[in-house]
Amino acid sequence: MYRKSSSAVVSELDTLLPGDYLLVSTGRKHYQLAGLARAVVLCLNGDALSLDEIQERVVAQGLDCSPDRLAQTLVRLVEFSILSSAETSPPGPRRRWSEGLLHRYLTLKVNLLPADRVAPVTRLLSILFDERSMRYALPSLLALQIAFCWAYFGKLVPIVPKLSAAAFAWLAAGNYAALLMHELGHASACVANGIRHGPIGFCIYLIYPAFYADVSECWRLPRSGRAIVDAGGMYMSLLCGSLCSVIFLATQQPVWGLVAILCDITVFWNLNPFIRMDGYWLLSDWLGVQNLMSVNREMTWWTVRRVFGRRQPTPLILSSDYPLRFLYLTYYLGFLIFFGYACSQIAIHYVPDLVRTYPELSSNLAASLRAFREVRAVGKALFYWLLGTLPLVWILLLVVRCTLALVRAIRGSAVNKEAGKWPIPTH
Amino acid sequence: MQEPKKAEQQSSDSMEIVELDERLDMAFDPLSMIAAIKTGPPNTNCNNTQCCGGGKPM
Repeated sequence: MYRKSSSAVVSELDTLLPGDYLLVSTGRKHYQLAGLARAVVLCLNGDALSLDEIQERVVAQGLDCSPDRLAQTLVRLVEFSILSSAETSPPGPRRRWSEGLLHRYLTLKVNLLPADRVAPVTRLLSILFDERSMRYALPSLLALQIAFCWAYFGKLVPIVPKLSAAAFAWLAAGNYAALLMHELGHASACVANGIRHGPIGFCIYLIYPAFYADVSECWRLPRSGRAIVDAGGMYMSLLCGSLCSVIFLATQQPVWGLVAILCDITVFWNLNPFIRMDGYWLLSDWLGVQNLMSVNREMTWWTVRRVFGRRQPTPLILSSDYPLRFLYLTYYLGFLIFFGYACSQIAIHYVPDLVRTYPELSSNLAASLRAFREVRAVGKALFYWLLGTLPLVWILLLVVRCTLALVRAIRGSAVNKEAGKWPIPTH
Repeated sequence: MQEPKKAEQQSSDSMEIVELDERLDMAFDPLSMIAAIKTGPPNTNCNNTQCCGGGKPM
């Protein structure tokens, strides 16, 4: 007998992609179900049914459903803890040995503030995230902060090297407080929309230090609600930046002006839609295309296979309605230009510099370790060696992954056979 | 023709259950990024391991 797992919450998925989808949330994981898997979950909702009964109900819905195919689908639904079965104990999702140590795109991920610790603050701040007021306040604050940066960036930034140690400590404190407020903005927007948020933490994205708020549960919201959560961080940064700007204008203390500029830089960087930052999630929710980065990958490998004359199902995004298809393809073109530009910069600047400096950095580290006299000197040599090594490891991993995917694409096998990892069902 | 059809069916089946991305709303630390950019690449002409372990910032 099969029944819906007690931890699985079923709801509709708000998307603009063609087809009918179901969203199933099992604690921290969220799944999009289509076709037979969707039909099975719908017919099981609340009931416990045998394999034969499920097949009977699914066939009655007019779906092609051989016993083998249905059995495979049921096994996978049990594996992902979406269904539970009396016959087989659920093994839980398959885990790799590296899971927990390595993240898919983060070099390092550390939870700093558990959700329940920040809950009193996010409840309090949630009153700021009213959709109607945000609609007017966000563009107005953005325009004001652009004007502030325009007027004061050139005057304030040259002051940084002249700041006293105490003033620099205040600047750093203001910067990290503003970053915490940014993440609290995302989490508070979740509370305002009636969903739970996850922890707030520190991560290293490629080589860049960053803070994050886990807002995965917002998949359960309609697209407009998701957009509020996405914009929540920038909205909070703009509020902090505006407050600091006003204090600076009133007191003429440069630290306040510099904190305002740092808040604005955070907002401007976050508008980038080509890496997984707020602008990316905003665009993904506005377009109604979930797992946008995976769709980009799918498009790329589909094009590669076409070039090599391989028969391949057309990506679903190309079967969507005209405005969505046009908007996505425009974005995809921008993504290719951005990716190409980033790769060319790495090839022109980073690689030759690394080839020139890396052997010396390594020998310096070895020398400082041999003549171990001062921990500070060894620490510095190690820091510079790591600074050179981390991007190298990341580039090598990227090259290996791209090469393997390219070989698979040319040979005609599926790029990603991993269950549940492929982004969007193809047409 | 059986093999590609079978592969296509398997591929379509595996895509019926798709794990949605973990949503981590990130914000880069602008201060450390500015500091890294301002520091620039290490100058490996400096071999003084006493002051900075070599690789003194330019």
